[in-house]
Amino acid sequence: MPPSLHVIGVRHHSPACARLVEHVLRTERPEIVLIEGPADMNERLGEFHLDHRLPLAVFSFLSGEQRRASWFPLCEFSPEWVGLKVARELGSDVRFFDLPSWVRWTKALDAARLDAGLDGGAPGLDGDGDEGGASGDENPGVERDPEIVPLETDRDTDTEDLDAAPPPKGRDRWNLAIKALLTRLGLEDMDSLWDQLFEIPQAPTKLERTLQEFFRETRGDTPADGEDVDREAFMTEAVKWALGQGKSVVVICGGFHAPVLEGIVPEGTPPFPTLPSPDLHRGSYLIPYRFHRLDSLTGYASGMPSPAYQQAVFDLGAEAAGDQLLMSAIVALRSKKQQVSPADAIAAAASAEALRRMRGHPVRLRRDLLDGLAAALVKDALDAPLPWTYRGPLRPRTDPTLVAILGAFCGDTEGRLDPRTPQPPIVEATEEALRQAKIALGPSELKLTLPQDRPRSQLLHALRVLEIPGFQRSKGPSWATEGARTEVWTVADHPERLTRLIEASIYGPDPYSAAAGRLQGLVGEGTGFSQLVKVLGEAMWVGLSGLADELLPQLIPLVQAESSLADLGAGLKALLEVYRYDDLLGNRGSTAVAEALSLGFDRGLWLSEGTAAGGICGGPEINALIAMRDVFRYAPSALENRDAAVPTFERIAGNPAAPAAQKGGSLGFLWSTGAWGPVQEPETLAAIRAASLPGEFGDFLSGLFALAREELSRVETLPTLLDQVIAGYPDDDFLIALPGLRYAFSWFPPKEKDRFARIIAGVLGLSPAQGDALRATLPADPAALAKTQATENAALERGRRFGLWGEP
Amino acid sequence: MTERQRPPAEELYTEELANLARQDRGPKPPGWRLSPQAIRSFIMGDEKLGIRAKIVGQSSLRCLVTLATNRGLMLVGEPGTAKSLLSELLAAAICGTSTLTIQGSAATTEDQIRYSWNYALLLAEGPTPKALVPAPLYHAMKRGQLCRFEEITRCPLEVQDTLLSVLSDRVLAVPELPGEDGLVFATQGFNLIATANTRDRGVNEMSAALKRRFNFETVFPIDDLKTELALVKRESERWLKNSGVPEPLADDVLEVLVTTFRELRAGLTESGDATDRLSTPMSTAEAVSVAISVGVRAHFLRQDVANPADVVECLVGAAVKDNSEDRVKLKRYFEQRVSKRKGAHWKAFFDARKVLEK
Repeated sequence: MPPSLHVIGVRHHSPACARLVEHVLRTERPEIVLIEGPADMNERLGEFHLDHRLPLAVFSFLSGEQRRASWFPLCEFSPEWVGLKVARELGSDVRFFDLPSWVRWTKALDAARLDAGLDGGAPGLDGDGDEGGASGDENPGVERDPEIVPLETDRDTDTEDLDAAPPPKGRDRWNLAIKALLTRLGLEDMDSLWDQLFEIPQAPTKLERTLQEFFRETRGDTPADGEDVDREAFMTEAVKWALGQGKSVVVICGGFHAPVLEGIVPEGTPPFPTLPSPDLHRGSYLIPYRFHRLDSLTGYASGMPSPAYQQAVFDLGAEAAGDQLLMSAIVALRSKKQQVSPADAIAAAASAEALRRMRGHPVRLRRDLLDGLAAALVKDALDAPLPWTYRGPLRPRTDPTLVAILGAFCGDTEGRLDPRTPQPPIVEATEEALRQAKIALGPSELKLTLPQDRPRSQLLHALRVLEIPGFQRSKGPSWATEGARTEVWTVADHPERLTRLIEASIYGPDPYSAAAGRLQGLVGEGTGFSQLVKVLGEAMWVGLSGLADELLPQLIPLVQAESSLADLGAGLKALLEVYRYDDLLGNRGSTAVAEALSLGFDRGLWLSEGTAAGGICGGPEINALIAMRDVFRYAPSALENRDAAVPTFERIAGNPAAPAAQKGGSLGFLWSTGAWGPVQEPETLAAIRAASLPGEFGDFLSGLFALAREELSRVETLPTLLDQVIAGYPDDDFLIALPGLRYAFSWFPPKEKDRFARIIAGVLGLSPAQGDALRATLPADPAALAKTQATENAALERGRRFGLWGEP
Repeated sequence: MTERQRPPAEELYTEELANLARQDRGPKPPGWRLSPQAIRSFIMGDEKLGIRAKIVGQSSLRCLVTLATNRGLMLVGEPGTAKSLLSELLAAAICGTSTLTIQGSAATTEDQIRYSWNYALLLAEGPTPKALVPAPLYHAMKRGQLCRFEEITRCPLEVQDTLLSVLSDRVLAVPELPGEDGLVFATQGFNLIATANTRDRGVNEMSAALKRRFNFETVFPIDDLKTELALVKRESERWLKNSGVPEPLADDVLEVLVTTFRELRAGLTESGDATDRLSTPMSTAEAVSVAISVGVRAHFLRQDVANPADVVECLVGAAVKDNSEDRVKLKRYFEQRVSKRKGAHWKAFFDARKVLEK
């Protein structure tokens, strides 16, 4: 029998494609089945057939000086999974035939190293993009370092990813073709297009013809580019091997590659392409996966959206799946205490049905259901567009009803591995790392300034981030404090250590990438600026500059959208520490930190002007001003818009409408940064006098002292002036000014307060001992004193009326 | 016949509608003149049939579906997002008349919605069908047409709730009339399109009972700069010509104008920086009218072509109405955002900011 080749181009996680694969395999009963999956799993295909609960993922990683990882998710409706199962049942020779991500990374790493003319440790290569994005990357925004590894585009593009910018050469045509098709069919997005063309019930032969036409039309005759070159070369070799066996071959691959692989003709009997062998630092393992990670709306741009829906379609067919999902969305809403009446449910179902008819779909598709639900259940104006009309994470201010509906369509199924599955490497990796770092039980002191102690600290921090019991840091710099350079750790054996380590493997194959995965999990929808900075700080402790590089771009929109000066200030303060500690923790990425600092500073100026136009300026805002001052002072080269600061604060200081504390703070900024040159006595005094209204004076001084206490302490006559102003207040005014003044002086440390008190004592002609009494706590109840004072004042006033003290 | 200043949609597009009706093969919901597909072509445009797009956006399909069901359609969105236009076009295409319109306001009464009486007849003959003066809702129900309710949230709650029984039972009671005349059952084809303004949120919040009877459709401002720029250009050109201004606005002037409107509307610059949102709605419609006044001002006042400085002059009137904070915000926008833009037109725009001080 002559060799035959049948290529099925699929979209990952498409139920229709999964059914097609089953159909083709069962009718053709091929002798060889090639499936697009990491080929290093070929010797361990048996693992797939253990007693797992799906979804699972093949987790490929590269650790060491460059840490990367990727996921190849499999669920029951994945064509690849169905292919594996059915082919085994038929007794075919099944093989994965895609180049594993780690092989590509290694290759790229070698190439880069060669380019750099270095034999290792080239700077700029430790871009441990961790959650990197090979096949089935759940975070396609991650593996984005074209210097090292070209864009992983296969999974994105054999489905779509119209937003990828700039599109690589070979993709231009693909994207343009899809856009043209969308316009012609009057559709908004690729998902609708896909559903309408392929997910409707149809004969397998017809489906396959349409798929083939679609992929040929979109791929055209463009050659592969980027890393697709290597992958398609590998796949081609594998197909040639299969044909060389003289057998019937079925190939299951992403639609992007299908047109290329179809054209392969048998020639000779080449061997199956070889791979470098996996080791501790690189390889692939099965891990449990979750629907939530699979959903394209949470970032995995090449999957089919709404896995729970797809699962239902696969199990029950589109019609029944529609009914089930309509109900589960409604149940989800009700569980969130939302009123969804039976009438609403009927209206949703009716709208979905009407949309189906109007769109000419033979069955209700995902979009019809979602639109129907939205039309019937959303009872308010929307602030953000319907989330299924665009790709990527949910936009801010998306209606919570819609979020709940999408949640129901996504589902919360979690995978579980058969316990017999080989253990992930993190356990061994951790022990190995601990051995290498010579970390023993008991307390140990690390000096962060020593090059040999820094990696040890990073490892311990990674384990701390992973919450592995038994690793505790009892002393060390919080990253907000300066100065400390020593850490004390206590390492103890803990009965739960092993269990927790294995659990941590879901985050990665070794403690570092696991810590990265963990930290990344803390960042998501709704993460605020200061939270993100915190995660960033942790990443820096662990030495995950790759993760840090990835988080930084997320920081930027948050900085730009931060609307509270107080929160911005807190974040800026922490960021500045990152920037200044960069050196100590040995991280690169300071340019990105600098960018965030610069934007944050800019944003701070913007918000300050807003506050000046009638906002509130309390302690947190003052702290923000201090943070901005510190950024201005310590990170001058980072700031793009540094020159704008002085005019801005000059404007605020001169703005009569600005809150007093902010005016004082702005003056303090100008003086403490030396923008106005050294502090001059006359103008200082003039400015202080100009702000001496009793209601505002305390606030003004607190702003001023908060920023420029040190500089002002050099103005000799300041205490005298303050005394004059305050002593000049009538009693009532003094009481008004008092709380603010107390707060203002709280910025002075005791020693300086003491100096102040002595000067005032001198002005009042008191002895030093009497001066000390000025700072003492009053021996009597302040309320009683106030009452006495009031009585005394009333008596004096009455006396004045009767002309007892001179003129009436 | 004297020329009308603004004919209703069904008159303006008589030919298009007739053409569509001739070619329409699609199934029609009961009481509709055209199939939903034909109506979609009418609104969104169809090159093959030579029909111009009248609305930019994608929401019309869901609107049509709602109107074919037993729920009313509620169009919500910022002012100036063409909600009323969409409702007019929908009504014209579905039932051939867009004039059964109730304008919601604080002074709207039930009489203006349902029916009132010819009092002379009422006194002479008592309550008879002859003495009854139908209002738009009554007409629409009788004839199976669409009734439009503009700015529904401007009406007091109790007036809004007049619609409850009409929307759920599809029947209007006229208790004054005996017998069959006392109940008006809605003919097939009847439905209600209401519009409401998100800026009016909280003025007269709708009751939950009424909300339940509507499907909500949010109309968003135009999503991308290019489309909006093209729209403002087209519309302003048309109107300027009507007003006797031969020169349309230069592209850079339009860019300054439309970008400013978009940014102050969204509270976000095109490059992603946050900025203030004005309390005044900065709609596309408003941008068109500012573009027109810029052109008119330059031509008649200065006998010159318009420049970015004219935009600042006209912008103040449009953007800062009675809210002094808006002036502050606008100044801040100039100082912090416009100042950093590159290009001579932006610079000219920035340099003209003194006008804001007035």
